[in-house]
Amino acid sequence: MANRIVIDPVTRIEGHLRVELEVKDGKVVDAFSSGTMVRGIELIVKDRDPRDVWAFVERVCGVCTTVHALASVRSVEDALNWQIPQNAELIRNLMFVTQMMQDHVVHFYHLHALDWVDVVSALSADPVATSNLAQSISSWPKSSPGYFRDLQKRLKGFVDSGQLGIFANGYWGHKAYKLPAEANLMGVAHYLEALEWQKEIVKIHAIFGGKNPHPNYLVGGVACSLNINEVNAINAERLAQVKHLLDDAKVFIEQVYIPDLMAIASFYKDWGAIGGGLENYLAYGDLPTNGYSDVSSFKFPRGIIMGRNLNEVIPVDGKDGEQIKEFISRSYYDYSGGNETGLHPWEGETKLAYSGPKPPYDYLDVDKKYSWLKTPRWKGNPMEVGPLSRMLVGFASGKTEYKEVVTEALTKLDVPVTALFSTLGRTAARGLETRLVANWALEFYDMLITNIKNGDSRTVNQEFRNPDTWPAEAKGVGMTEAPRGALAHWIVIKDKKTANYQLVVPSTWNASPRDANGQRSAYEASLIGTPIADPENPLEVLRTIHSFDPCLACAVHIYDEKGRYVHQIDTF
Amino acid sequence: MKKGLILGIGNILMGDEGIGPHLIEVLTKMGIPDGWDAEDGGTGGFTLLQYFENYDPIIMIDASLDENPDGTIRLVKPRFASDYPTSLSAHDIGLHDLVQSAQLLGYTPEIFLFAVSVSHFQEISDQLSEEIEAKIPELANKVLELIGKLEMGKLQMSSRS
Repeated sequence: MANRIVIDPVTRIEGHLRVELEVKDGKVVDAFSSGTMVRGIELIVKDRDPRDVWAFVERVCGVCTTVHALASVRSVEDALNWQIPQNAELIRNLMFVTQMMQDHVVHFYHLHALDWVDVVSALSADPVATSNLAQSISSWPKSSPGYFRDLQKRLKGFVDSGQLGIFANGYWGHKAYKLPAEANLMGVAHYLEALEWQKEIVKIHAIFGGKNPHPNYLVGGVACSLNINEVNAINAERLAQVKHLLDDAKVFIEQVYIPDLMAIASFYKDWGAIGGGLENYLAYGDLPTNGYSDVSSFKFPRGIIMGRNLNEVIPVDGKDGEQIKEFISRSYYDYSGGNETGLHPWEGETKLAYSGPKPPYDYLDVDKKYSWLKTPRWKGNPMEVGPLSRMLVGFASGKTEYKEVVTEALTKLDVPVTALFSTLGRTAARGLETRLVANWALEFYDMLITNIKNGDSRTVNQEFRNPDTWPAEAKGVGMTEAPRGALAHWIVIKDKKTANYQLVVPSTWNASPRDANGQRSAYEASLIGTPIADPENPLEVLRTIHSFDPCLACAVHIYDEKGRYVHQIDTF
Repeated sequence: MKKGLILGIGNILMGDEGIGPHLIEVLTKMGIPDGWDAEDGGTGGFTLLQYFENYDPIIMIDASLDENPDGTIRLVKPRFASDYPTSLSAHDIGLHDLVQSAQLLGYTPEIFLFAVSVSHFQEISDQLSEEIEAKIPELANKVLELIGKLEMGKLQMSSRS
């Protein structure tokens, strides 16, 4: 008889993701992932001016505040064939890389590291040994014995005060923690350094987007003007600040994030064979360098890998009605044409139909509908999205810089290529792409400066500003790569208004329930076979789920009677 | 001396949960007192940490899920993260985490929190309910009154020294 374990919420901080597991002989034999709040953002933007939609969809989450705005303005530009100036593309890219660097660092240190780093063990570390360890892996200057001694004192103060706060939710002392005390202390120190750093890097969003959180976007360009001598524009002083922040980011990522990632990974190599799950990977790609219509110019290439075959990248088309479809056979919705069909997002419907158990309940009724997330499929196949998908598509596309960082990491850890398809691989891929992004950021910056020096300060194309120039009906898709993976917004514009709007977000691909054919999506698939040392404290499950960087804020929205229940318990 | 900050928190897509940002809009139109800034903190998570570093005091306005009648306005001086109300924001890094992180970093501005009780069941909407909308003038006055008192306190302090 298998035991049922429930983890709800799964996200380290707040969240609306629930996982139910069946465990037999110390291993997960089945898993069910459920979004416990319902999404409905599509309903609020209906009939609005398509040029305003970004400002609403941007608000769904405080974590990736820019990605939905980007997907939204792109969907409208795509529908109207509206090209943007190169400076606008570069500024959007700079906003994108800022978001990704900040989000990945926050994920690693604040949402994921504590699955591997034991905070309480850090209290017993020897500061001198910690200093030696830190200096052996990085030239980062803050690594003296005194620095770690002070930090340890601060940490002890928190523990003694009983206000462990953000560190309160942890399986401290669990036997699956393998790091020596010194590595734990180093991890906690960098947790705090990362917290300081992340609030600096996001200032780039305020510079280009006017405010943060929720910076301004604009259909047809960007919402700022470039003039190196103008006080109220993006001037020389602000550009210098951007450069300074990007330089600091590169140093932080290369001297703190990557060395920590490698040091921690070296103690958990067994996780290179756990948590692989699906064998199909999807990336929409992003960071164009020659216009969004020139996919070959993307720094993150677009494509699909099937069956872990790294010799072939299959193209993906968001406009082909037969490729991407959302199914609801296990989700709390109704489709007017029947619940067994899949709908392309342009034809998408959002009719809520909760049929789950009345809360509070012990278990989901997993034989029926059991999630507020729809189930997206590409030609009927489940897909993993996220950093690992992006790195694999980049690697398989033959891009040298991807091959270099991946090979270097595999060699350093002395693990086989197959270790990529795992929990460890997913977490490592996130760090490796952050390294690439930190370099690209400086390239985009230099290109922007060159344009300005050459007298090109255009940031907006006003061509379609007047809606009378629009066709009576137009359809567009705006694709991007959110930190968590492939994100796209589909819009149908009729008579100058938003007639239909659908988001297919990364966590929908990864966290969705199984489809009508019983095929699991990424979270569920990745958990099968996971060893569980202690069913009361399923740390191992959190490691794998957190490796996807779950964030359900945009996948699930409206608060319902179930959501209230979720907030009342804290089984994490 | 640092400037003071009025910080509205909440999701404007979730009906009354957006009372914080809605109030910021109203106050901005009325005019923000000298020595103070107003920010729409939206659903911002860790990005709001910069405000904890750069401002003191901070007056926060947030919706609260509690057992009080809808529209109840309470002024609290939270000391610990657990003193903050449960909110229904869909953001994955919440106010609790933010405040705890600020404490970890040693940012300790004086914080006042206006918690406005709202219904547990919010429809997705960018509008406030009539009931909560009607509370806006009272809430705005309370915030401005508090600022008046704080400024008076500062004045007395400086005349004494």
